[in-house]
This record gives sequence, C-alpha cells and structure tokens, in this order.
Amino acid sequence: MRIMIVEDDIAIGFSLRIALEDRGHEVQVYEDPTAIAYDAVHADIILLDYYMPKMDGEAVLQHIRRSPTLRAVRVILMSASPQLAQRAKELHVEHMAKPFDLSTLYAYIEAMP
Amino acid sequence: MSFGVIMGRLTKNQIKILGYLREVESAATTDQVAKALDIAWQTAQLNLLALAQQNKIKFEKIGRQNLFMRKGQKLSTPDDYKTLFDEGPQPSWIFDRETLELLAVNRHALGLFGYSREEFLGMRFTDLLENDHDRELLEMRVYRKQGFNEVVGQYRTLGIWKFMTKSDRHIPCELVARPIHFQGRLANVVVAQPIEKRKEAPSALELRYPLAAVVPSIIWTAKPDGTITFANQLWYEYTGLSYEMTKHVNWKEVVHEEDFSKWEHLWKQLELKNFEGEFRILRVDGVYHWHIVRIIPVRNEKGEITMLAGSMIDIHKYRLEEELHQAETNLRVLLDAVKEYAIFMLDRDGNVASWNKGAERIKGWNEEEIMGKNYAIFFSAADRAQGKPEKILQAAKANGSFSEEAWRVRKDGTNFFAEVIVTAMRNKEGDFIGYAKVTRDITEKKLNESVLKQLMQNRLILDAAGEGIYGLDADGRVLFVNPTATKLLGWTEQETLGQHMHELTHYSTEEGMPYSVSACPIQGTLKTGVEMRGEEMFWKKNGSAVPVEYTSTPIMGNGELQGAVVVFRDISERKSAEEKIEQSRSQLNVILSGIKDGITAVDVHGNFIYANDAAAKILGLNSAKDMMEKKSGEVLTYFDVIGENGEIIAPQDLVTRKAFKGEIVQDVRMQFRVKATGECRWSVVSAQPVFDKQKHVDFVINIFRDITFEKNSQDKLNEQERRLRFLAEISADLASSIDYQKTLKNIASRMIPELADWCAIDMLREDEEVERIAVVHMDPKKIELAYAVQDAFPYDKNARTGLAGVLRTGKPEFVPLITKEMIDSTVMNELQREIVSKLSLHSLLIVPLIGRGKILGALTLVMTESGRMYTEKDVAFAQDVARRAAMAVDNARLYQESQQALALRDEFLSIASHELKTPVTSVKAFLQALEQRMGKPEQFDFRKNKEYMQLSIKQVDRLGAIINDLLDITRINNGKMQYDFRITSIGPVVAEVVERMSVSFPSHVIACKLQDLTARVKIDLLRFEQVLTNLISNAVKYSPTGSVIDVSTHSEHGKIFIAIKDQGSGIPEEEQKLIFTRYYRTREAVTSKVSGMGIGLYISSQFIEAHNGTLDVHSVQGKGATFVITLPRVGDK
Repeated sequence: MRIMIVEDDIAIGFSLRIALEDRGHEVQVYEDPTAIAYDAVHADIILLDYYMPKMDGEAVLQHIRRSPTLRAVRVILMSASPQLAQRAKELHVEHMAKPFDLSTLYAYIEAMP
Repeated sequence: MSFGVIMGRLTKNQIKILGYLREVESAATTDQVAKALDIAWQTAQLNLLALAQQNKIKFEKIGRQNLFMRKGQKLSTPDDYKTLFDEGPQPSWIFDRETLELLAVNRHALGLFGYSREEFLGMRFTDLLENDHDRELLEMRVYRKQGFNEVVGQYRTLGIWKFMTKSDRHIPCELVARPIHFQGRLANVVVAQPIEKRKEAPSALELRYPLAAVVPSIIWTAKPDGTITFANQLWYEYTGLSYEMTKHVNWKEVVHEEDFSKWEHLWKQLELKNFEGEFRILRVDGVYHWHIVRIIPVRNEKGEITMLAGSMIDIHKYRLEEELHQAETNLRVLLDAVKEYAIFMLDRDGNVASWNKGAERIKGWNEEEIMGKNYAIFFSAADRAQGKPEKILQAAKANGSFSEEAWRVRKDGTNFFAEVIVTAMRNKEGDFIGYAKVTRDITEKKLNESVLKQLMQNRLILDAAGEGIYGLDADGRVLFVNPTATKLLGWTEQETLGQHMHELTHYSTEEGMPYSVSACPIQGTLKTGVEMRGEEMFWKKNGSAVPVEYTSTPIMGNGELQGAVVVFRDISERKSAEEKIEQSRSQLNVILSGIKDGITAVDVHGNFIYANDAAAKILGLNSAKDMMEKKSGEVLTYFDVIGENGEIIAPQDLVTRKAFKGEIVQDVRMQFRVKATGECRWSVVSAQPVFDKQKHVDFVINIFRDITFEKNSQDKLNEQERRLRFLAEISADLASSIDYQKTLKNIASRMIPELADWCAIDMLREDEEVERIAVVHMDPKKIELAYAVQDAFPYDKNARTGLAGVLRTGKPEFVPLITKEMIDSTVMNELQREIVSKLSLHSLLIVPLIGRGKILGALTLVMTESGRMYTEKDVAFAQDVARRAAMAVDNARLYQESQQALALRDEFLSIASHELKTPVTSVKAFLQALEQRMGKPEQFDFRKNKEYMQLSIKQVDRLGAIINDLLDITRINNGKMQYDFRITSIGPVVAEVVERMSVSFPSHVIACKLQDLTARVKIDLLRFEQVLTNLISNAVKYSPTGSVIDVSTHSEHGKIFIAIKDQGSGIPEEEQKLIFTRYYRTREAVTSKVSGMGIGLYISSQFIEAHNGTLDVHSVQGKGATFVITLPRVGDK
C-alpha cells in the first residue's frame, strides 16, 4: 500500500516509516506540508499530523480534498489530543490519538475502509 | 399524502403564496406575470420542503451559531417528503456545503440535465456549471459562505447561473437556495428556474381580456404618448367613440377644458409618480361626468416607460351630492350666524318648519321643542283670542308680506317688543309654499322712547308696587308718586306733586346737617344722565328719618334727558339686623382667632369678610388686619399655589373658586410658596360655600390647616427610604455580574437622576493614566459633550485638584456651587470655555473608588440643568455607593485574575502533555518496530537497529529534559529551588557549552568571542549551563538554517556580560517583557505552532536572578534578538 505521512516531528515520521516499511508498505514522509505538490502525489492512505508549524492539519486536508489525485484517499488524523476525535468526525476523517500501538496503526491501515 | 393535502395545511405559507398570486393578477406584462407565478411556485415548493424537514429533525446545534430547529407536529412522513421533493414542480437538488458533492436530486432536474440519477449523484455541483468562471464563483461563494451559510429556513436568491446538460445544451437558470441539514451534513437545497421556460407562462393578454370585461370601471392601456392600444367595453359605451376614433383619441376633447391644465400637469409627471385625480370626462350625450382617473406607467428592466395603464371611475353622482350637501350646510351656518334676528320658516298652516340660533335666543325655544308647533304660541292670550296670528298670515299671503311692531311672548311667559316681517314664499312655478318670518327684539329701544308715557299708562301696576316710586322732571320736581311712597314718607299725592323732591324729603343729613342739592346723588342723575343706586336717609312728614335703599334712573326722550324715576324702599329693619350680626361677628372673631387653623371668608366680590392671624401667617402676610385690607385677588399674587405633585395650580382651579360654584371642597393638600421669600408652607385646605335665601352663593369659608412640619418629616423619611432602596438596587446590580465594566456602566446610569444629572466613572490603569469606563448624561444628546470634556481637558495625573487629586489622595472633592470665577480660573482656551458653558455645570462631587485600601478609580457626579446642589449628606451617600462599587470591582478583578490563571494553567497542561506525548510516540514506534524485527532474526540488521536505538535514546533525553523543566518550574513556584554556588572562571564554562551545542546543532554556526576569560563569577554550574543551553537552543529554534549565532562575553564596571545574538525574526517590542513571564508564548510561536511550553525563559530568568544577575533581551523586529546575561564579577584574589 502507498502510505503518505505528513508529520513535522522527524523522529515520529522516521519511526513510523520504518515500522510500516517493515510491513511491506511503500512510505513517503513529508515534514513540511507547504512543500508538497499534492497533485503529484499518489497514495492509498494518508497519515496526517494535526499540530504542525507553518500549516495545520485542517489546511492540509483542504488541499487534499481539492487535489484530483488525493480527493478520495482515506485520511487518518494523528494528534496527541483526544478532544480532536470530535473535530475529526466533523471533517469526515478517522482519528488516532498519540501515542499509539503499532498494532493499532496496522489495524487502521490494513482494515478495509 | 397528496400535494394538495399538504398545501391545505400550510396556513402561513399559503398567505405568502396568495400574495404572489395577487401579484399575478395585477401584473401588466407577460414577464411580470411569469415571474410572479414562478416565485409563487418556488416558494411553495421550498416551504413544503422546510415543513417536511422539520418533522424529521428534533433539535440541532451547529458550530458557533445556535440554529435551533423545533420538533414539529407529525405532518408528513419521510416518504412524503421524498415524494414531494421528487415530484416537485421545479428542478431541484441538494448539495453538501463543504464538498459541493451532490446528495439528492429530483426528477425534473434529471430530466433537465439528461443525467441518470447515479451519474448525477457521482458529480459535484460545479460539474453542472457551463464554464470555469461560474465554477470558481460558486466555490468562492460557498467557501466564503455568501448566501450559503444563512440561518436554516431562509431562502436566498443566488441569481442566474449558466448550466450545461449532458448533451451540451446551455441553459441559464435562476437559483433559489435554502440551507438544510441533510444526512447529517450541512447542505443546501437548490431550486432552479430555467430562464427559457419562463416564456411559456400564461400570456398576460389571456388574463387581461376577461378581467377587463368584468371590471366596473373604464380601463385602457396606451403607448407612452397617450395613443390608446386597448380599452374595455365600458369605454366605448361611455364615450360613444368608435374603435378607430379611440385609437387616435385626443385627450383634450375628452377632458373638460377647465380640468385640462391639471391633466397635462399630472401627465408630465408620469415619469416621477403615478397619475391620480378627479376630472370631468365627456359622455356620449355631451354631458361631462366627474371621474377618478388613475394612470400607472409600466416599465421595462431598464426602467424606461413602455406602456401606460389607466382606469376611470364615474363618481359624478357622489360629487354632486357632496356639493349639494355643502351648499345646505353653508346656508345653515350663515343663518345660525345671525344672532340679532330670529329667522325661521312657517308652513302653509303657520307651523314652524325651520329655526335658527337667533330665534332660539330671542324667543327662548330650542329647535327640538318648537318644530311643528303653530306660531300662534308667540302671541299673548289676548292676541290669540282676537285671531291676530291668522290675520297676519292672511295679510302676508294676500299682499306678499306683512310687517308690524308689537308685543310678543317668550317661552318663559315674558313679553318683548318685536319688529316682525312675514313674507309669503312661492316656488319657481309660483305655487304658495309657506312663510318666512323675521323677528327682532326692540324692547329696549321702545322703552327708552316712552318711559313716562309707560309709567302713566301702567299706573295701576306702579301703584301696586311694594317700593316707593317718584317720577321727576328735569328740574327734580315730582310728576308722579305712587301710594307706597306716600305711605312710607307720610306726604299725600297732592302734597307731593309739583314739589321739589330733594327739598321735601332729603333736605338734611342724618346728623342734621343741611344736604345741598348739588351733593345729592339722586338729583345727580338729572345732571349726569347716569343711573344711581345707594342708601340714603329720607325725612318723613312727621320729622323722623327712615333709611332707604334707592335706585334713580334717568328718563331719556328724543335724545334729551327728560327726567328720572326714583324707586326706594325702607331698609330700617335690615339695618338693625346688620348691627346685630356685626356684634356677633366680633364675638366670633375672638373665638376664631384662638384657633390654629387659618380661616377666611371671601364674598363674591373678592373681599375678605373675615380672616384670622393663622390664615395670614400661612399665606405669608403679617396679620389678619393686613389681609382684610386687601382684595383676595391681590393676596393671591403674593404666592404660588403648588399641588402635591409639584404642579402650579392655576387660579381658576383653586378651591375657593370651586366653592363659589357651589361645590364643597374638603382636605386638599397644597403648598403655598411665598414669592418674596421662597418660604413654603404645606396646608390642608377646605372650602365651603354659604348660600343666601335665593340659593345663590353669598360667601365662601376657607379653612387652612398648616401641615408643613408633618409634611417635611414625612419627606425626610421618604428620602431616606428612597436612598436605602437605591443602595439596595445598586448592591443587587453589583452582585448580578462579574463583568465589572458593564456593572459600572449600570451604576453610572442608575445615578441619573437620583444623584446626578451627569455621571462619569474613571478607572486608574496600571500606567497611572485613567480610562473612562462610563459616561451617562440625563440628556442623551449631551453624552458626546461629556466625552468632549475629556479631550478638551486632558488628564494630568499631577493636577492638584479634580479627578487627579481624588485619585491621588483618595479624598472626595466636593464643590456645592460652581461659580463663574471658578470656571474662569480653570479654562485655558475658548474650546474649553465653550464646552463648559454648554454643559452648564452647577454642582460637582467626585468620590474615590477604594477597594482593599487601593484607589481603583473615581465616580464623578455633576449637577447641571436641574440646578440641584450637593450637600454633605450627598457626599456621604455617594461615598457609600462608591465603596460598594469598588468592592465589586475588586472582587471582579480578583475573579478575572484567578480565571486567567486557571485558563493559563489548563493551557499549559495541555501543551505540556502534547510535548510529552510527541517523543513517547516515536520511542514507542521505534521500540515496537525493533521488537517485531527480533521475531525475524534473518532480517536483523545490527547497524541499522543501533541507529534506531540511538534515536530512541535521544527522544528519551528529550523527555528527560522536559520533565526536568517541569520539576524546575514546580520548585520555583514552591520556592524550593536549591543552588550550589561556587566561584569559577566564566570563560571555560561558556566555551564548553558552545562547543557542545555546536555538535548538537550542526545546522547553525555558533561563533564564540570571549574576553576576560579568567573573570570570576559565583555560579551554580549546572543551572548556569542550563540557562546558556536554553538561550542557544532558542536562538537555533528561531533563526534560519545556516545562520550565525554569536556568543560573546565581556566585563565592565565590575559586571560580566554574556550575550547570545541570533539572526532570527526578532521579538516585537510589546512582547519583550512578557517572554520572561511564566507560560508565555510569543504570538509567532503560537501561530506557527513551534513546539515549546513557554517556561524556558521564565526558568532561565529565575535562575539568573538567584545569581543576583539579570537576563534581558534587545531586539528589533526582523533584525534578530540578543539575550544578555549580566552577572556580578567576583573580585580577583
């Protein structure tokens, strides 16, 4: 599966990448959401950090929703704040609270939507 | 449920629809008809949707707006709703407001666009549009929420959009949209009206002809130049014009020439206003009839007049009736205006057929009584017996008219001498129809001509009179005497006639002094021609005197004084009665003067018959005697009489006046304010009329009880009670809200009018300037002015007096009366003078707001127009109010501070937990990944995995650092931080930290320029290094990659300076102090979501302070920041 990770924390991005690559997924990590050419990216699933400097998760989501290539892609919002689950519901995306078990991550990603 | 049934239940919406249908009726053009019909349909459809919607949704709250939807009655099931939507008469669809996805569509829309339902619902709204411009516009309007985020249930017209069907057909549609909740989403329902379809609406002409035929007035349409294009049947019937003639009608020939200029005038103004007026219009038989004519211009989209629509209603009949009625009324008014003459009509038999006001005045009968009665009632019984009334009528009928001067009888039986003219009336055809009678009362004229004659003629009557009567000639000799006179005075008629009356009966005064003719008022009448009345003494034949009351009336004839009639009567009995009364009155005087109530008696002429000293005192006069010498009217001018509610009582409303009208007035409270002294006395006043034998009011007794003392003590009690209530209300106000600014505004408005005409509240800010929280003026127009004062007199915190003085000393300032001198000494320029004079300052009171010993602000109270003055009592009261207000402000501020602290703590906790969770997330992921790999030894790559472990350790260090920061801040907060101070050289310490940081942050160049390497300081090494590390990592965090960070030291004046300079974006001046406070995060850090808890610089500055040093920042925004640690240098050994 092609997985796109948008996460400003290098350590988190890196650790998730190795964990997912070990499962055989193709992973691309983006630290700076403003630098992504959304239309050029192809992915099956997007892991999106909510709190980021420069551009927050909701703004990134807007870009994804307008991108012809990413419009229909599943988005999982990640944040350390459990309150965000509600907001995620309003935005029609799934939510994972940090820190999480890799088993949870795998379950999210590998379960069919 | 059918469409019709649902329609039947839509009462409110029905009305709306009916309104649109009415528009259809009155529309004049095809387009207007079509448009009105469309709107009616669209609204009906949207209303039905809304109704159905309400039944499904109970209660929902969206975002920050409270959009409540009530649970409606069960009017339709969801299936009904669906059917309704699907079968609706217009193309319609629903789209998601966030994503623009199409969520539902009805059959009409599918038919219009040519898509299948699946195809349609797979698209977004924008895919329906014809071009990119419209797509962008729609997206922009949706995202900007223009017309798409209104309150649920409101319709918005969105204008015309260009759509394209599946088969590439272009169809412009006008859209109406309404926000709804659909499938749990925010959505909009859109109803489209294809523009081309409009043309298929019923033709206006089809509607027009049947209507025109049944309207009961003439209607027509015309070109703007007046050429008639259509007229209904009634036009042809009325004007008699043919179809061809109508087409070329010349309005000048149809409208009456006198009305035509008005017609032309209105016609010229058609561009500006509708034409409406009354005109005479020529009928086929040549007669003009009055019509109301209305002409309305019909305009195209550009607003140009394309057509005229006119109507004409025949009002001729009403107009004539009105004129006739007016003429009758005029005549009646005219007749009624004639008061001197009785003018009335008699029918053929002499019965009264009309009556005027003059007739009523002269004859005493009113119209209602006399109408229909025979006019013989105006004649004496003798005349009637002789058949005089009938004879007069016969004569008038025979000769055309009859006139005479003769006696007639009034309603009350008295006679009057009348001049009478009776005229026979005939109609145009010469038929006799009745009589007009004009009568004038000439009694006085008649009497003046012939008093003596009358006297002699009426001798019998005079002889019977109870008074003595003498008739005198011009010389005063007796021509006539009646028996009463001879009996009263003892002189026989023979002895009297021809004698000089004065010499016979009036020769000497009561005291025996000679009474000359020239001094006698009775004889004076013969000289002056003026009637005289009075009391005199007449001498009897036997030599005794008799008191008489007399009237002496001149007799005029042919313009000359011919003599006089003297009428007199014996009043000796009355005289002695009066003496007795006088005696008892003086006794009563003694009794009444001892009474505390004021008592007066006033006669009809306004003379005081009696007054006691108490009355004089209440009314502000010295004594009763003083009062008795004056007329009551004069006394009244000395004081104002004021009612209980403070209103001045007009003289005609005074109780005495009422009593003269026969009314008994009891216990009315009023105040007498003596004009000269301003002294007020309250009284309870009663007045009672005393009647004479004829039941006329003879005089009035007034009784005044002075209640000034009781009233004043009551007022004081009332005032105390009012102020207590006022305080209680203010206290309630203060307790009702913790928003102290709002509360103070409430307090300020409560001060008006109880305690001030103008009130301001100023609060002292931390920078010692003042902030005006509230200004209230009795006259709202003057609030501006009150603010202008602040600008004109800028606040000077060093001023000795005024607001500044009060705020400095905490003592109230109290100016009972603001004098002109005070103003002169204060104002500095004309602007100030102008403002002050406009405010008309009168009295001033400023009290401080003091809470927990601290001066928080001041309450300024000013009296202006009301002219009231502050007293010591007001000062105490205002201070009381201010104390309560200050306490409330203080409490509110404490509350606000505690709330802010709580919010700050919560925010900090949330940030701290985020900061802690971030490294935990990655460490957990690393470790779990490693764990998984350990399950597959064949893939185990030691080099790689070591790298992962190092990364994990780094994250754990990051966690440790955060936890240390948290521990530090807890220790600082609790004051339990412990330091291990040792003396050491500064240079190596700084150099080591810089070196370590260079390794950690290869992304930046950290340059080190150290002077005085051996300079010694007393530091806690660990803590100091922590500070330095923190400052350098901040510099790294906030400056661009690759930039230089300079760390330098130098010593000066026994101090060591360690500076860390970066090339980042800098810190705005207003934030430079704040960054050292606990939990503070710069706006930049917050908005760009840079991680951090806002405690690093706080901890650092606390540490440095513990070192007896300082931590400062110097920065210009955009040009980097320099943090400087200053430490005291320890003397070299």
